[in-house]
Order: sequence, then structure tokens, then C-alpha cells
Amino acid sequence: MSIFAPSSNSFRREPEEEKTILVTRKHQINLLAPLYSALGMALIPFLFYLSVKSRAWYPIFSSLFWSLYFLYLLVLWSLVFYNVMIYFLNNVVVTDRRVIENRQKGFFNHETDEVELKNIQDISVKVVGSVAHFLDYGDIELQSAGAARKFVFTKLPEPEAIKETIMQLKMKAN
Amino acid sequence: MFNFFPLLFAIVLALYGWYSFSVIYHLIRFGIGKHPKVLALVFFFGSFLLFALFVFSYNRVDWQQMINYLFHS
Repeated sequence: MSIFAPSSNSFRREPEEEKTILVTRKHQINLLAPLYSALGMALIPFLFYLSVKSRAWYPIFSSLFWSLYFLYLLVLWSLVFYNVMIYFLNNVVVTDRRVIENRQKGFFNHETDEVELKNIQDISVKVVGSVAHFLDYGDIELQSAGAARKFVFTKLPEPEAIKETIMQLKMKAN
Repeated sequence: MFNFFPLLFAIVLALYGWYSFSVIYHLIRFGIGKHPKVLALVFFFGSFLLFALFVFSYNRVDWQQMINYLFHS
């Protein structure tokens, strides 16, 4: 059972002759919300500590308080990294042959969609809202000829640059 | 009398071990690029440190003193 990928940018079931050009995932702002929530939740017991540390009974219960606090931090830490894992494994890979979308829905629950570059008929970019405009993220829609379906990759950073890369690769592939 | 708590602790520890393994396995096996691998290492060391701190502080809990304070003061 090999758990390490052959090279730093390789992905599962990648043929040897295929070259990864771009790996992207949702804008980092999507990861910041759970991180800041966890940070806020980690501080709540600490604020409780500040309010009770001068009480006469606190030294008797301090060890229990800190052990429960570290256990609470361990749970938060694990939840944060579950979100980090989901964030990093939901990605879009552009190779010199195809565009692949990996969707990780949980532990051992994974879906992959892909479209050959030569089958792409149309690429469009949608940037909606002031936050998306200033942080430069948006949706990319790929219209595929073969399957007659639309691939929508949401909240990708620098969508215009990604679109340009895919267009150039498509021209080379044709 | 059968002490239930060590068994409960062992079950929770085994479940947490499986959870941690799953996070690390997914990040290393399916992560693309070096960032997921580095994050797996950060998660491992952070979990180990927090678990060690929990066990250390739990061992320092003086249950008798707390019981005396709660029921005899």
C-alpha cells in the first residue's frame, strides 16, 4: 500500500505521460470561517478562567479545569483539521489533457469528474459581489461537447487566469 | 466491582486514533502538492502535544481534595 504520491504534484490514477499544469481549490476565505470560529471557541474557556482565577475555590479545581480545557482544545483541533482536509482535497486539477474536479465529501467518500480539453466547447467566468471582486475569486463554467453537460467550479481564486490557462491548453490539445 | 472508565477511555482513544489516522491518511495519500503533507505533520504533532497536556494535567487532579471541598466544607 503506497501512501505517498510519486511526485509533489501528482494525483491518484494519473498516467505517467500526463503532466499536471495547475492545481487550484476554493479561495482561502472559505477556510478562514471555520478557523476563526474554532479560534473564538478556544478562547471562551480562557475568558472563563480569567473571571474565576481569583476565587478562593479555583486552586482546588484548577487541574481539572486545565485537563478539560486541553481535551476541549484537542476536539477543536481535530475538527479544524477535518475542515482543512476537506478544503485541500476538494480541488480542480488542470493537466495537459483534461480538467479534473475532485470532491471529497468525508472520510473515504470521494467523487471525481473530468472533461477532456478537446471536448470543452465554452468557458465562462462569473464574479458576483464586491467581496468576490476585491478578493479576486469567482466561478468557472465549462461546457463540454461530449457529455453535453456543464462543469461548474465555484469560488476559485484568479478565475480569469485559470480560464486563460485552460484556453491555451485547449488550443495546444486540438 | 467492574471499573467501566478504563474501558470507556480505551474505546474513545481507539475511535480518536482511527479519526486521526483517517485525517493524516487522506492528507498524505490524496493531497496534491506538499502543503497537505506538511499539514498532516502539523496535525499529528499538535494532537500528540494536546493529548500529552491533557494526560499530564488529568494526572495532577486531586479528586479527594475536590470531594472534601464539595461535600465537607
